[in-house]
Amino acid sequence: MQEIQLGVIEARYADMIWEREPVTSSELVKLTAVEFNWKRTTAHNVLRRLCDKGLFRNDNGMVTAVISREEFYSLQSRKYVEDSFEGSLPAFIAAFTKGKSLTEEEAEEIYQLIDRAKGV
Amino acid sequence: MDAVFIKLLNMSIAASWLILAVILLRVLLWRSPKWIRCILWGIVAVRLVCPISIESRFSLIPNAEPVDPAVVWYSPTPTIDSGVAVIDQAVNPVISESFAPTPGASVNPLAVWMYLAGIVWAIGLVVLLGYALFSYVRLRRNVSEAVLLRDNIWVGDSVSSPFILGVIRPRIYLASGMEESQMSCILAHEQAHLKRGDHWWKLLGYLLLSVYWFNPLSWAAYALLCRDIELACDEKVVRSWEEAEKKQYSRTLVSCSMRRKRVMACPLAFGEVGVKQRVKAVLSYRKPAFWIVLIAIVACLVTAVCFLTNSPKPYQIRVTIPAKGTENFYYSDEEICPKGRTLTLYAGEGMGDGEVVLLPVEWQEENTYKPTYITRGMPVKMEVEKGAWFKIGVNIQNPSEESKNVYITVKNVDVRIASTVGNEGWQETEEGRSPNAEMTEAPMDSSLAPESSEEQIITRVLGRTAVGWSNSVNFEQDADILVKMAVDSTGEYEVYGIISKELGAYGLVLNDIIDGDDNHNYVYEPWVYTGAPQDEPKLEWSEDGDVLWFSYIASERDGEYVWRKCIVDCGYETGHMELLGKER
Repeated sequence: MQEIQLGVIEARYADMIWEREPVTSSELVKLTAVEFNWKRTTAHNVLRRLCDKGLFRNDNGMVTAVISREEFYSLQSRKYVEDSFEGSLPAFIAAFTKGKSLTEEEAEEIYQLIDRAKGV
Repeated sequence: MDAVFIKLLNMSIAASWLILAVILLRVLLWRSPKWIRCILWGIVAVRLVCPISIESRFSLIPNAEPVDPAVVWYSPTPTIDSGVAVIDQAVNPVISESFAPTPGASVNPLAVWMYLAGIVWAIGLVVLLGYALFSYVRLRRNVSEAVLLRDNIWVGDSVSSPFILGVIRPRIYLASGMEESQMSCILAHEQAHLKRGDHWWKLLGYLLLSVYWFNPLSWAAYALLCRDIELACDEKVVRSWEEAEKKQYSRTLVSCSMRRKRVMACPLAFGEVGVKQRVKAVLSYRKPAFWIVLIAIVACLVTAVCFLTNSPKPYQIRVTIPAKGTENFYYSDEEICPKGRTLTLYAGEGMGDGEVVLLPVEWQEENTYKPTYITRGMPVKMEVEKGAWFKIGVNIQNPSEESKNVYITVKNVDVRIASTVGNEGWQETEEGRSPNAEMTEAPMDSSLAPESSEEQIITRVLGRTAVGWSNSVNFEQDADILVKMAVDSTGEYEVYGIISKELGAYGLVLNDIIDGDDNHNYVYEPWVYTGAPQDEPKLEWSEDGDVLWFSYIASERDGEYVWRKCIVDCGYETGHMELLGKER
């Protein structure tokens, strides 16, 4: 099984399902509305994504687990990775920002700058 | 469309001077707190938003309307007046040549280009606003899976580096895998942004950028504004922090910038900008001395006064050309007094091609002002006597049935309505051209300006020394002449005839001398001067000594002089006199 990445919040949601499964999707909507402040559509969207990733199955509103929680985590490396959302960068916006994120070297340089800074 | 665009173009050019000044001031005031910079950008915003402005002597804006719509549309030699001679000299020849209309063209090419430019501008505006809206919607959708932490703080998987989104109910978005130590720093920063109202300022900045996108300085200003907002926010956060906390804050700034994979390409959200500069600023922050802040605030006030005001507007001096006027030159009612040693005259409204001349009100030796060709877009610069009063004259023919007004524009002058007390009238000199004096005709023009100016003319001529009827008056040389027409046998009553350059032989003055004092009574009627002894007017008492008669030549018809004899009402020693009735 290839590595499936889960964001922090996705993981929380998955945990929530594993705790209660089998559970209806409408039940999940109510739960996430309280827990996460999510809209109905959001709960369904994320659920669908989790199903596409192979964790759960949604049969006519009834959500069941395809793979158990322990099994899943044993196959993953615990790494939280952020997806950056898409968006191409128009050239003119580059003028307003530094343009790129910092490289390792640049960051290191600045960390040293910070450490060296003297008091008032 | 192009009128709006031209107005914005002018506002943009005026604001450009201010933007350059602010960029300079940012450097000069580098030791002052960063919120001063935001105030300076606020002044720029005021300049860009307000379409009207007050005039002030202290204005450093050379010209708030460099592109004159009338010049664009009508002038055969289009030019701009930036108010700076160097720029004008460099730019105007190119503009005049490239945009010179071909003869017979119905519209100026520059006007066409301006119209097209207006369309391009509108497209750009729509594109920039559309982009903001589009990216806002996309960003909203992307953070729809964010989870509420508390208050207005949300946490999301797709957030790589923290930002604020939304203007009315702004939300802070944080990355989901953030460490506790970093979170407090970041929250302090973002909440400081919200307390400063930065989400509003950035929105305003972007709106102004969308409107003035055609000016490259707008982009520079926006970029610097964003940078200054971040710096000011950092200052607000670390103002009372210790060294250790400041270091932690700086480390957080760095690590946030590292994790960012793509830039927040949304003008309505903003994230981290220019990390190295900010880290340096935070680490070296000292509370600024009071006098530094004071100087900075004074600098802001001075900047506001100098750049939010416009240079004084030019005056439009009106010259009325009477119907069917055939004089060479006509003069303004108003008089101007130049405040400097040179005077620039511009052809104003209603003025086509013609010549303009200055007429000194008080005749002085050296004043010979040659008529000079003037047209729209081609001003005339004259060396003048500072502090002297002049009328402006133009030579425009007016064959139409109605009197017509043309305008000459001048700057840097005092203006007054012509006063005629004590004026000697004007002498012609050899070189200058003068209006030809109308001779012994009926009044040239009955549609001249209202009676008050006739009164002024009469008063003016009355100031001269009178000549007798039989004096040979050389009309080629003398323009204003006061003729003593008649005096009665008692010497108490006199009648004078007025000959003026504007009206010719027009106007009588009945004078009642009481106790040695003159009492003038004006009669607004034409008369005829011949100078021949047989034509001399008479003031005669009737045989019973009760009625005073005045006889004179009133007009000429069919080659014959028409005499008029009328009673002079002497008004019981009040000094009031009137001509009554007609006989013959």
